[in-house]
Amino acid sequence: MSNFTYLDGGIVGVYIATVIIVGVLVRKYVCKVDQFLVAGRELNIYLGIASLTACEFGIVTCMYTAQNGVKFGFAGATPGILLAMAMLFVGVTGFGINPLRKAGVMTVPELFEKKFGPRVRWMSGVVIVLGGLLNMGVFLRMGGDFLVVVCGLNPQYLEITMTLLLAGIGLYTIMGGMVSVLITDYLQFIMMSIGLLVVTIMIFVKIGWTEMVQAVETHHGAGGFNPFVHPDMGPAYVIFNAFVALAVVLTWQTMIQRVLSAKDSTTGRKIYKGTSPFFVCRFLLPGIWGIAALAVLTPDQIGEHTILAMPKLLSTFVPPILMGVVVAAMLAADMSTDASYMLTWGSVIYNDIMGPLHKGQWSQKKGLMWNRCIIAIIGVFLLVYGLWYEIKGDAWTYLAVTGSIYLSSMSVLLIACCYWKKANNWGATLAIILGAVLPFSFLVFQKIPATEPFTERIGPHVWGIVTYVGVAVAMIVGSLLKPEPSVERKHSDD
Amino acid sequence: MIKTFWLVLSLACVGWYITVLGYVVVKGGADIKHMLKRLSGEDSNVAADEEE
Repeated sequence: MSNFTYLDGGIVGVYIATVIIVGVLVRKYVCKVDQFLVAGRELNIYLGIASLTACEFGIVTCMYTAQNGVKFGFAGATPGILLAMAMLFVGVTGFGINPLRKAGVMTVPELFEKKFGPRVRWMSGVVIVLGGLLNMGVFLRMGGDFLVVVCGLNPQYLEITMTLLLAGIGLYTIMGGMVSVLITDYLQFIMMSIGLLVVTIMIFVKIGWTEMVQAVETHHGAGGFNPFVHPDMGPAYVIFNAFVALAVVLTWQTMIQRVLSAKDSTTGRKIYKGTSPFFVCRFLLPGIWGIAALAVLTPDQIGEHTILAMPKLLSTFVPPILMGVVVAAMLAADMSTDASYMLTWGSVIYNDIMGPLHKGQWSQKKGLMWNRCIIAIIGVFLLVYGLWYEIKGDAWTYLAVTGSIYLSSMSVLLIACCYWKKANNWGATLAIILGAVLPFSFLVFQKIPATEPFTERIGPHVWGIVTYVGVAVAMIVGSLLKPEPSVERKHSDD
Repeated sequence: MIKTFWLVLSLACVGWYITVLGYVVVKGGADIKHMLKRLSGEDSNVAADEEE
């Protein structure tokens, strides 16, 4: 039985309505495509931190990081520590993001065109959208699962609830683009932070640190504190996640879009430095919720679906009224993530995949109309895919594998584009193909009964490492096989 | 030792988050005002250009 009452429902309803109204009201500030996609590059540090934080934390994040807490104990926060380290490194040095922001582009593939030519830009757009949409495709289902368990929502109404929520998010994203996303992200950052902090402090006070440490020791032994000795993690897990972390902070379009929306590269770096500790919080705080579930719930209550352990805990642990705040906080987190992701992948579709069609020559009005249509289509895709695809294994690994469809190749291309003179379109093309084929084939093999044991034997982490290393090798070998001047050098020679 | 590491890290996360929340609430609001002001200016420039 859930503690969610009608009063909590009222709190959630008022909050959602407020966000949607605010988001729609700011549409008057959007008249041009660059205002729609990158808010006219007027983003400053603190709004950037709020937006990046809100965008990178949704219900799905809370679910998979809490699942990591249940499955791996404290060691489950390892990806968060690696992400924070990578982000701090990039923020301090400006590695990759300095040349990207200085180039004045709106997407990563746009930069690639200068070095590798238009075909590579188009291919990059395709893999970015493919990886991004597969990644985002599971958000709705997981958000719905959370609501069913925490609020005691009748699963019969799940589809209609999620459809209405997505329609509301789509409405303000379509109207106001990045300007609406940034302002609603600010509200959502406040709401989700309050929820995240209140529940964590309650867990510390009511359940206690010692109880949680004992639960981790009982279920995971030393591996619950050290990822290198956990039987389901080990060095391969850490190395794969280190690759993913660096690739994410360099090329994950939703993160990079904040750098590209920043006033200048120094502001972009400050946003990265300021947000980096959040990535530890992002994994550790919900991870603590998962560990609390491990300490409080019986194995029967947790059941096979470890991803639902945290919502099961919240449904009885959080008292009424506060429950409304927590659910509103989680929905806030989800709305900001969905809005940002729809806008981001939409921007790549318009800017890079449709580039050969409009050639940057369409009027602002026509460009805005197309961007809005693309976001609406992405919304429809999310509804369809989100309701039928079922994840195998843990959610974080699914997200890391699908993300790798483009993360591996795009990060290699970005580094090569900025720092290796000999890199050319042969190497880039080979890297993109290999980077897409390897992770995608893993997902397909996982679903075919004949090849399923093979994927289980190798595991997603080793497969992921092979992908990153293979893509880097493909870039080098491909470029050396065709040692001719890049497009940029050709132009400068001319 | 490793348990102390996780305890310190957890408390640091809560402390950092509370501090940043306070900062961002105040300064992020100012950033929004600034951004909207600049965007309004840009819009009126676009309108003026179109009139010319």
